[in-house]
Amino acid sequence: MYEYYFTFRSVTAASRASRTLERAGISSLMVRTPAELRQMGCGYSLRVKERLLQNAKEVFAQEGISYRRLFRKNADGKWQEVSL
Amino acid sequence: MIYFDSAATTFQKPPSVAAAVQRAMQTCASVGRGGHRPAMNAAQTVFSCRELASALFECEPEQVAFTMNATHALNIAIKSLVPGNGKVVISGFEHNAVTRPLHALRAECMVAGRKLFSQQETLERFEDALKNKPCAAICTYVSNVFGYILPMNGIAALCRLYGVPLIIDASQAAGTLPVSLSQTGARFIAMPGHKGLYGPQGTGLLLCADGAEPLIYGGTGSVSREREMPEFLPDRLEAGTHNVPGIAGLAAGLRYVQSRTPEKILQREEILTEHLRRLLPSVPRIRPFFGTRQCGTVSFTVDGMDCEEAAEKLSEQGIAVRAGLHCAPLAHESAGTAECGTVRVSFSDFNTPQEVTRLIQICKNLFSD
Repeated sequence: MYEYYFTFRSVTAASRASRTLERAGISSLMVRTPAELRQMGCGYSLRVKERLLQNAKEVFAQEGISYRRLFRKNADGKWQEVSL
Repeated sequence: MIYFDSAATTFQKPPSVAAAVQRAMQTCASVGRGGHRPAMNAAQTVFSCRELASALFECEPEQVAFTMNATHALNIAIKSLVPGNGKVVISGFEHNAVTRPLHALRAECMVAGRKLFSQQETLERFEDALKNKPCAAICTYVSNVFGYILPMNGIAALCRLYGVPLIIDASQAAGTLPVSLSQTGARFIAMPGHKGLYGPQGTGLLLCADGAEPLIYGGTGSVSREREMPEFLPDRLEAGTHNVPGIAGLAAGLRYVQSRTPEKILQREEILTEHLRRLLPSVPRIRPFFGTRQCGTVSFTVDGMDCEEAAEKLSEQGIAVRAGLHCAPLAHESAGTAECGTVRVSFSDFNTPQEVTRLIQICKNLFSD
């Protein structure tokens, strides 16, 4: 089971995305963006389980929530960007 | 004590406000500065407040920036839109929070609408001034001295028509009158958190459409490797550590307003104003200022007595009002009270008609010859 990370530009953007998923009944966890995924310094991400990924993407699309990038954490701990 | 100074700050707050402040102090750290539980508690608390404000004032949560007060918010808005020596139109009822930043910028101010309680005159003068292509229009929604409700929808429509960005000072309107960033098309709407929204002192909001420029620069917890402030809201305007306990209290105040509804709060203040309107003329030596479009605030003068002396006598009798120029000399000039000032009575949702009756009884005792 993979974990996916949506990255956001600010804590406000991540909070809004988290709240949007929560309202849709999709659980997620807001975390600091891991070092390997950072581009311009500090940021926040939403961690979502693989089985909820598709629903999360659909909810973001419906609600106009934009995230920066989407990454998958592989079993070996390495990161892989998921194309949007 | 009977508190009638809510135009300065609401003193009686819902109990949930103090409880939220205390809870935040015990559970919240700093927003956007860590991934630990106290930091995340702070992030959730602050975002909840943004969401509540965005729902009440019809904008996106990211468009809600936290400030220290309405003055801070107005300074950001004015400095975002008005260049040095820029030409602006303002109403004749503006607070020093508007006129002093403009003075510091050496702005050329066209004062539009100086006739107290005349919405028609205000609209006509605004339209005349807007034809001169000012870089911004800045207008209070409600006079903090006289409670005069300016024709904000009409002014906003004129600003849209003439393509002039509008800054609304909603200090005396937020929480009672409809305030909408999206409906008015205003560029900025500034308001305190500690008046009609029942939050703690030291809180304010700036609703931003676009073009906001930072007033202070520093850490935001985002795009930290860049030397420039972030381009995006609200981070662009929120450098430094947030007043998390204050914002938590403001969220509780917003929940109170949301559950009570601004319409019902307005209705209560209208009942109190009407009660005062009926009774005040029966007090000897008093000259009250009443109009048809008035909200929650009434000013009066006392013949032969300085307004500060009158307020002091009321204070000795357990009545809290504010006297003087109320940081709004322009409004007093417009009403012809700049030399003497006025005594101001202002209401909140926690006042009662019985308190107004008590005020009248005390005024009769104090001011009868």
